[in-house]
Amino acid sequence: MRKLLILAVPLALMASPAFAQSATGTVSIDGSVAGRCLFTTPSATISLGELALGGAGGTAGKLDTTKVDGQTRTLVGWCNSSAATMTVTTTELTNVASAATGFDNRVDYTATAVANAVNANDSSLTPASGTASAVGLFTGNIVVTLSASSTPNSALLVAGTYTGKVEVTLSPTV
Amino acid sequence: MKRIGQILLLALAALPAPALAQSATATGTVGVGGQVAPVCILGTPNPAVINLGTLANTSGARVGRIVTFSEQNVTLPSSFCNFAGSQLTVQATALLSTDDTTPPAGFARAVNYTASASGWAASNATVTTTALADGTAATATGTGSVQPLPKLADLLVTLSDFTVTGDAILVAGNYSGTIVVTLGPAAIP
Amino acid sequence: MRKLSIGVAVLATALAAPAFAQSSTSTKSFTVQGNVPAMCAGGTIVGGNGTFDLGVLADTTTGQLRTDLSAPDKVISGSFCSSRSTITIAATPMAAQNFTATPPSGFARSVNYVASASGWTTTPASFDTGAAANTAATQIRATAFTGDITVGIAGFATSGGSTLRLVADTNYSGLVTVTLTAAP
Repeated sequence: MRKLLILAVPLALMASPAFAQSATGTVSIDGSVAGRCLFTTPSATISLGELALGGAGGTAGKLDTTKVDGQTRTLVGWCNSSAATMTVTTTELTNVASAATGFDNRVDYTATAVANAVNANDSSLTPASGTASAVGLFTGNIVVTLSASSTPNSALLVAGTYTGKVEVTLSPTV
Repeated sequence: MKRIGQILLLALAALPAPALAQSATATGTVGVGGQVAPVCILGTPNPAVINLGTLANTSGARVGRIVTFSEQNVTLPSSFCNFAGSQLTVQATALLSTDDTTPPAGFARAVNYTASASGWAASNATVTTTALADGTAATATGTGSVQPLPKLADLLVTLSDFTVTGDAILVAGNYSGTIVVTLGPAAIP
Repeated sequence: MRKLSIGVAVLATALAAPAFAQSSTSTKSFTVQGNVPAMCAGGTIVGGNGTFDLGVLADTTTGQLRTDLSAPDKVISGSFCSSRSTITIAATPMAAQNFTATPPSGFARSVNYVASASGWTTTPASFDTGAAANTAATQIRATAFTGDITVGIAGFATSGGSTLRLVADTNYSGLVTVTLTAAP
């Protein structure tokens, strides 16, 4: 009894003619690449130095906005999806030392991230993240810039160390 | 018997689904930091000079002796320290005649007073000068309590109780005294 | 493989140098001023009686000035000058207050004396009512002073000569003035 071989790939069984005829067999190959984003340079630090104005005039001891506004750092990353989005989340600068009447112990600011000629921003005044921007398929720099710094009462700043952060999130799909 | 050609089995590698779960979303962080140095700034005294005018009575039962003056006030507006644990100190020097010759018996060349700096902490910085008739021991210092929070305030310095040791007659001349106000970190006990 | 690099557009720490060094301690000062004028204040006469009472001036047997006239010194207490000063004494002769006409020949109506103020200066100030000039009438004290001034009168002499007789009058009087003047 002839053993029939069941083949994984269907082959055209051909009766072998006496003369040669051409025939085409097709192998389909498929695979997938998941949508993904990655930061190859995922972190940076901005050291602002002394945040308060000097001198002895009416503005002494208050926020020097020129120390914050315009500060910029560049992260590096990529997204492989044309539907990728970029979102910024800004956390205000805060000092653990207590404030008192006539003083502020936080500095708010806006951070803007630019990648692939698309920008996304967020202000630390709003607790939620900023609106997502469609950044799409790209690989390259994500430039983060600070602006619009302010203090809640435009008052004197409490002495001490202030820390905050800017988080940039790249998502491959909406 | 026809021989069926060898059918080459193409063993296709069945691509398995990746065993590791890759995070599709990536987050980059820019840390932001700064500092504010501890600073105290006293407001400019207003007025800068207290002029009492004639210090001695020119007639009456107390002729030649110190006039009774009302309280004199000087403000140091918008003074502040941006850190916790500050302290106010006031140093006062009695009014002394510019002529430093030892006065004769029955006379004095020094006018004492009390200076009190308020508006900063629970206890004011207060001092009373105790200059002798000849003007020695003319300077004294007082310190207020510690202010536990950063503070912005209008400070008030009040001068009062102008007296002369022994209620002596004042020698003629121009008299001047100085009040120095200091605001800074509390002294370490 | 792309080379990773951190592109930095703006340098990290931008520490602006302050206009002047901020300090955690601040010091401000102000002055209190006044002045005491150079002035003198006269005291009060101890005992409250401002009159040297000499009693009867003439010797009843001769009609001439008695030679034993005297009166206790008067003390002015509580005077002071807040600066260097001069003390000046001035006096007017004891003259008859009712008989004011020129006395007839052989008579006089005025008695001279020497008034002095001591205790203020080393050399007492003195004034002779019968002298043409009294350079000792003003004395200088170089320092402020408070103390008693003793005023005395002596050296009585009939104006015009000791042989003249005094006209009768119940009231012969003169005035001694002591002045303190402050010098700046």
